[in-house]
Amino acid sequence: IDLAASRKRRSRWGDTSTEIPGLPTAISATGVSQAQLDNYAIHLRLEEINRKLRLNDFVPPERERSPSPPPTYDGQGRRVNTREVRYRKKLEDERIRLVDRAMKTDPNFRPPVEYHQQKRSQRPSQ
Amino acid sequence: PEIPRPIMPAGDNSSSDARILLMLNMVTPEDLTNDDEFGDLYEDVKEECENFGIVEDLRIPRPVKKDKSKWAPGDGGQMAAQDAVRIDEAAGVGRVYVKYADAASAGRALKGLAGRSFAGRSIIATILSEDSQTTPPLH
Repeated sequence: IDLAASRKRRSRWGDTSTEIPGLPTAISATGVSQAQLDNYAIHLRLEEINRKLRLNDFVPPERERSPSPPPTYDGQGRRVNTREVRYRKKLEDERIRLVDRAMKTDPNFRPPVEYHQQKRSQRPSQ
Repeated sequence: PEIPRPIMPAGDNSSSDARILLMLNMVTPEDLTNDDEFGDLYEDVKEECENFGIVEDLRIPRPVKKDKSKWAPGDGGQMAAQDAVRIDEAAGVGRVYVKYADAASAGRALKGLAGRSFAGRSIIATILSEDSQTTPPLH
């Protein structure tokens, strides 16, 4: 395989670090199990997702984006899969997966209100 | 049942000889499935980690290969999907381990990388001692 300069590598690293109050990112592992660490990571990610959605800060900078899919339109000719819609959906789907996982592994976990709202809207009762 | 200890901010690690950096909330199974993308990501992580000292081992556990034939609709497919998720979780998919040549490098990396954004996710970092039961085991 040719790993030479031909392939342009995109860096995923960002410069900014934003701390969520009360959720440190440099943490101590003393006396903490791996499962607890993983649960903490889920918890922090959920806060991070909620914050991004609240602040409408969910479209990544260009270098972190993947190629856009072909546009799709609704009956009125409005584009349905805009960048905003796609990335918002991505985070909402991730939130559902994280909550599902946390409910299985963390007995102290309480799902956020948005979770129930979203579950209801995504899976209408039959 | 035992009350788990709360997660505490990292204290002063300067007197410790622990040299394994564990990073969480950094990669997802989807990032690790494709071979090309994985190679790319691995190099991206390695380069940045080497800024803090000599890296002896870097592990980014990958999800199990999804066998398409087992993913037929029906009970068999469902079971396979659940099994795959369980296997991935047990294998530590989603974690990134970096073993430095010395504790000072690991300490610098902790300070430098915790809270940094990686593909839009804030990295959680902690230092593990050599006798920690890591999945996968490090060399």
